[in-house]
Amino acid sequence: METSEIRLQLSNIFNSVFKCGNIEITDDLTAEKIEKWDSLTHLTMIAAVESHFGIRFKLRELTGMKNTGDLIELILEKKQAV
Amino acid sequence: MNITFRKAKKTDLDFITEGIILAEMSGSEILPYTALFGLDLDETRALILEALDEEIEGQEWYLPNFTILEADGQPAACLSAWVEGECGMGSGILKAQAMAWLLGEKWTQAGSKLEMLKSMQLPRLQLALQLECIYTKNEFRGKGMASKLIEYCIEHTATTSQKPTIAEIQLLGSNEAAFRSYTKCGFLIREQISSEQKEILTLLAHNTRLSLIKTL
Repeated sequence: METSEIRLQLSNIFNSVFKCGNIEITDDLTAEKIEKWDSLTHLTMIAAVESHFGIRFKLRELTGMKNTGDLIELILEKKQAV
Repeated sequence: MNITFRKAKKTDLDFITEGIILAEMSGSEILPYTALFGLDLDETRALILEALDEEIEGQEWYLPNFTILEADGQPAACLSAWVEGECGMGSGILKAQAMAWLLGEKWTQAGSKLEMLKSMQLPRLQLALQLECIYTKNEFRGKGMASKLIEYCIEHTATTSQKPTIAEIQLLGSNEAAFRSYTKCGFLIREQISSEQKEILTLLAHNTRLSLIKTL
């Protein structure tokens, strides 16, 4: 799976969870830049990502994430390991 | 009385856990974790200890963020201090992730109550020094311990980026003694939010949350 493909699929998930139009998935995208990205919608987004990509994150991986770039890297790692 | 300050150690975990619980109760009989997740006191202690054991930086339940004030060699007060957003993610997201992970199904079942609590959320100021879990043992109250600890932490909290220019404390409206103590330290109300939902008082001690700030 390519990074560009993950970005596209993440964009669909983010648009659906955060309900704010067409979100551009950049590496430095964080909760501060999206109004509806709070603690509860964050957990909904993580659950949607896990379900969509068929992966499961560890707590340490989630708490180590600083931005969307880290999320993309984690998805890539997990998909390559499958 | 001889007052000293030090970073928290693993041997302080029981003291810190009691401090977190009493700070969360905010001077009331309502323990939010019982109301939200059905946890009794022992289960709440276990949850807090597990969360501390996960060592998640950037939020209040992280042992290295705690400072202990000792009076004549005895732990008398504690406080957790960190810089909001310094680790990338906000503290609310980091703490919620840990709790959701540790509580599993109980977190999911609390969905509607957690949604209700959103009406009481105040976003923390980015890159502000956050002061939380401020607790003084009963026998040391009224002696200015919390003020001394706050002043110490403002002076000594280590940061990985630039030094914060603002300190922030969030508290519920029920905690009048704490409010007086913080305003004496120079904190002013930045923002407050109230919920009109009556059910909120089954989850929290008060329906108003305040953000207090102090320019450093």
